[in-house]
Amino acid sequence: MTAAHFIDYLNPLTYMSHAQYMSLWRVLFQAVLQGFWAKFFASFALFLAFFIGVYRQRIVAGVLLFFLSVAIAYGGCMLKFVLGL
Amino acid sequence: MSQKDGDKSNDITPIGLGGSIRPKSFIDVVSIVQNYFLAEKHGNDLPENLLTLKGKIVISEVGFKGAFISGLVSILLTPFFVGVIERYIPIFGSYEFTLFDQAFAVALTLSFAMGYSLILASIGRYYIGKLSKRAINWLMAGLTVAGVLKIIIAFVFYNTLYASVLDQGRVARFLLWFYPQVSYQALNKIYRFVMGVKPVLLTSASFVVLTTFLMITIPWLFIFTASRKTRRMIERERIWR
Repeated sequence: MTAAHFIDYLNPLTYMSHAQYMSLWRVLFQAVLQGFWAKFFASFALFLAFFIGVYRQRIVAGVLLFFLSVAIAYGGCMLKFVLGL
Repeated sequence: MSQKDGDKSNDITPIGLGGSIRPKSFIDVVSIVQNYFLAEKHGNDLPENLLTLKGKIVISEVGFKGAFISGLVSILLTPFFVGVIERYIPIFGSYEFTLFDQAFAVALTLSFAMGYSLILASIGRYYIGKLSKRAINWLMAGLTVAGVLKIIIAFVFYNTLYASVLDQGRVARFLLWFYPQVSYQALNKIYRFVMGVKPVLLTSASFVVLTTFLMITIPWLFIFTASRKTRRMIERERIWR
């Protein structure tokens, strides 16, 4: 396999259309950042943030998990706002 | 693995903060307080000068820095939470708020400050001897000063945003810079959103006072409870001996 073939292989647009690619990301974001799974992941991340940050006193990991929880909670509406424009 | 001679990891000799060791993080302060606690645990008196003025300032600096950063995060997050409660800002990508959504928004907003307070409170079990108490008091003094500063910054920031930065004419002029690259409908949508959300800033200012009060009082409650527990434990140890 040549380097050019390898680069082509890494480009997802070689085996799916632009519309399919965008809709894949949209579905993925909607699944993770909206509805039940968003609530589940955000709550779990917040719980882990307290468990790891406060109980185990790994402060940096706790802070990162807290920001992950914020990103999941508000990421869905940010994305909706941007895509809705 | 066996301990090598000269390994300082198990050294319980109290460290003079006036010396070369300067605590940079909360963990460093905990280890200093632990050293004082271990020395004072059985009624040994340590010289008061062991905790120098520089040491006290350095310890309060650690408390201040963490609380100040957590305060800034709270200042940024509070309008989002109040916006969710007042149904201006969606959470989890939806405007149909359930009780869970609103409770989660409250938890998320309080959690950074509360988390930091609880980490500080974990030092409470060492609040026994004279020097340990003094070191913890200075740590808490740093937290309290940061809390008061947070309230002042929040009030100035939110009120400046409300009264000056987000003035109707100013926002309209700013948004018009993006026309015609961004459509008029989109700019109008942003304008209406910003004007609708604006009152949230005033509620947020009052909310910050409440969270700061909790941030300062919760560690003290935990410290007094934990220190009483440790004291009872030490008394029990004495009786058994």
